[in-house]
Amino acid sequence: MTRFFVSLVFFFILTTSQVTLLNYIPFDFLKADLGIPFILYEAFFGSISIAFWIAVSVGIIQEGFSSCGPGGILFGKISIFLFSFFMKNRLFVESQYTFGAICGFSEVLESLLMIGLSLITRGDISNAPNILYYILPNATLSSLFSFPIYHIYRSFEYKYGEREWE
Amino acid sequence: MRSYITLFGAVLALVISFLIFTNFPAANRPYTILRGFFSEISGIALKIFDMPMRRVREYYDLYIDVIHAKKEVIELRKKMDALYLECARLREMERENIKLRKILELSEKNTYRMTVAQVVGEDVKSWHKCIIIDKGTDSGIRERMAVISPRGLVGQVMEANRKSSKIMVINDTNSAIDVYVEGKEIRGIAEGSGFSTLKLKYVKKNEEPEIGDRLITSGKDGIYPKGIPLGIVVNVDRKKGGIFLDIDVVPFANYRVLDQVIVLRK
Repeated sequence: MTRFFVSLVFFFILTTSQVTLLNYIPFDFLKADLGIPFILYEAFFGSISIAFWIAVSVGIIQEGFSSCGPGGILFGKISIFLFSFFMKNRLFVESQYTFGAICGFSEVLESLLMIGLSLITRGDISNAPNILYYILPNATLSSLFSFPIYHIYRSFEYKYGEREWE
Repeated sequence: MRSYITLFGAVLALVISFLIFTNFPAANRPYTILRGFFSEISGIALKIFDMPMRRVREYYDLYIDVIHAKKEVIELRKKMDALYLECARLREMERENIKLRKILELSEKNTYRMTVAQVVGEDVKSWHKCIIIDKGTDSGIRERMAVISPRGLVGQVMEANRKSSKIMVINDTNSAIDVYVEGKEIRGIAEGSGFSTLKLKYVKKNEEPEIGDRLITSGKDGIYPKGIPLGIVVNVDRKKGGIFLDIDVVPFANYRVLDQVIVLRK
């Protein structure tokens, strides 16, 4: 449980800072998804059930900061969790770079799912060019942001050990 | 076994989130309450996080202002002289206008109360163009209210919480505004493209909009009051197939640099 709350508080502080900073930086490419590394790290290196609850919480919190249709971001985050669930034993994450690559891929997956979801439920893809335009910069930036998050988690595990941290 | 329970829970949550996205009432209503609760918390958190940022920006702006102040004072004095003359002329026109209104027995319609709000955040995703302001239902703000800046139209209130509100800006792909080309009998729909320009749609090829024409709201969409400046025509493509022109518009209000906005309360 400690792991869940620490992740959630850390994510909330990071996202709030990001949303506030974005207001002062007139640049659209800086919208990295800071929730994905938390879900994936927990799924690959921690408990799968905690990863699920992090995915749900991250989805709902991000919707609080977005004008995306209700359920859209939540759907994306749970899909990323399911992706990590099935890939946990198939992908070998040995460094920050592999972890970053998976985070970037997850961002691409989420964006494509959003287009698919809009098409299936509303028959509308007017937002697709906009989503596709930002897909690569966002994926790259999400990968880059996942590096420090990966290191912080690693240092936590090294410092506090598995028993206390669990 | 435990992982299978989690998997089942995840699939169930996926189905529920899908139903929420499709506005299925049984799933959507409780979720709206939950989302509203998180929006409230995020609104308060944004206000707290915005305070130091605003202070840093104020000091930075002050420094920049001091550098440019002397040059600006000289320019402003020249402008002020010109504006005194313009002001006198406008006062005369206003008097004339009042007289004519009385003659025509016209009264001011659509009187709006205004609420000034600070912009405290921006959409966490780049899929949608949205800004977050620090005023909500406590200040009388409701959904579908028009939001403007001194330069022009900004957008409309999309979600109003108690202490904060989300504004869908006119650049968003879901935004569509009924507009007139100022000084011409041309009407169209200005739609957001998701990028910095808007598209003016449904203007026929036999009509004559030109680069530099200004757009104002028509007031016929029931959300935006009449006569608010929206943007300027920057490109008119007559070669595109079909019966309508392809027109690009740059909005007057750049939502990326907005600090304060005005919500027009009906």
